[in-house]
Amino acid sequence: MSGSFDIDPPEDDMEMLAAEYVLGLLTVAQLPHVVALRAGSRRFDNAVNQWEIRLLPFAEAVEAVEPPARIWPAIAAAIAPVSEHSGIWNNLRFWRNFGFGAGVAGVGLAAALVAIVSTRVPAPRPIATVALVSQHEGVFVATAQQTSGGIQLVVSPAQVVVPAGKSAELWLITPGNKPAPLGLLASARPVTVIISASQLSGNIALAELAVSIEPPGGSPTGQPTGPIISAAKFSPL
Amino acid sequence: MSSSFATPAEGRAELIAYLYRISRGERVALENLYRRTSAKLFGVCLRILSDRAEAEDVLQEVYLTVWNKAAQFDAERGLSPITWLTSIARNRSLDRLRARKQRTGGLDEAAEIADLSPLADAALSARETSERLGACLEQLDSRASSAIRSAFFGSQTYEMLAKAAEIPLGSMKSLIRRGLMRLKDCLES
Repeated sequence: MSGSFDIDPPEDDMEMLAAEYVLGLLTVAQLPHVVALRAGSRRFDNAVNQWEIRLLPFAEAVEAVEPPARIWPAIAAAIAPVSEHSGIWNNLRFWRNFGFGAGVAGVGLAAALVAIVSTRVPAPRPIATVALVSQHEGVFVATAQQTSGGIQLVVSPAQVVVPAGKSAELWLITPGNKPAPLGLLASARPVTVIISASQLSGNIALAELAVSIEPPGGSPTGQPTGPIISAAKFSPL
Repeated sequence: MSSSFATPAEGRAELIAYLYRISRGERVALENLYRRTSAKLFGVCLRILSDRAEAEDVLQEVYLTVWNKAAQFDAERGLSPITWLTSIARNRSLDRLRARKQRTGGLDEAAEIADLSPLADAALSARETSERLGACLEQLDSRASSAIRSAFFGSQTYEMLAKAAEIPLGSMKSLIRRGLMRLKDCLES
């Protein structure tokens, strides 16, 4: 590379950090720092690009392997235009299949729910979980499953104290995007929602789920208006 | 279905055109790009993950990422479109590998390292490296070039590489850092 760096860290350190980043040598704990540095320093970003150009021929020389034919249809389904009514809130048939009637108490159901989703549904495959713990020690567990129609999120019954006359609303937060409303939490039964691949920006590990307290029926603006009582990242399975 | 092009320049122009059309929301352009590049990228995912089911998942993620981020491809930065795509495939695969390692936790770490060593050996095969990079790597200390290769495909930290090579952490760091600087000089000479 031509040109020299006139800011700290010195060129050599920056070069080395960029190389170590591209090689995957940094620890998980170091990555957020490097990602921030890359966003903030054009020089560092350039150094990373240069190291990618140098080292990626390793990967480009890897032998090609034809993927199975089922992959493209799955991608095509994920990018297909989403109809207006795809936010399936109360997918009754889904829950009826598993014996979750409206009268089932929410307490203690979260763990059982995850287990059932993992063992009794052959088609949708769990891909990530997220556990939200609120200030009031309420816990909800959500499991994301890959289905043919997109990613289905199953949220356990909310064990959270919602003030009288208010609703708890669920949000999907992805890097660089505004929170996307996913609907209201229910206290007596699990809820499911379909998330489109475009909403997830491709990588569930970067997505976060949050819960805010909103006026009855949910935020009037489409963005959180009340306090966020809990937020957590998805853990890919 | 083919992942080879008549000439590199033709292939490059074709991929750039697809990326532009994808950034405008043309689904058929993503399909064309997939037909052109999926075998290459699937090879990369498989190489890093050594697990077909995981590699298939990640391949889907890769093309969904391309669908969402095609507008961010910038030919002016000097990355060829195939390098850009490869870097997405590699980064997604490494993310998955890290998640797998985190999940298996400390107890399994020794097993993970043992599992990765045959991978590192396989990486020494000459066909897997471009001529130039290969020639420059050959000039390095063999421990350095082998550590650099296994880091590239295995997302291993210095600690893991030092443990696998049975040398102190500090020695592994300076071995790799010296190797990287020499590699850079060689590639630019």
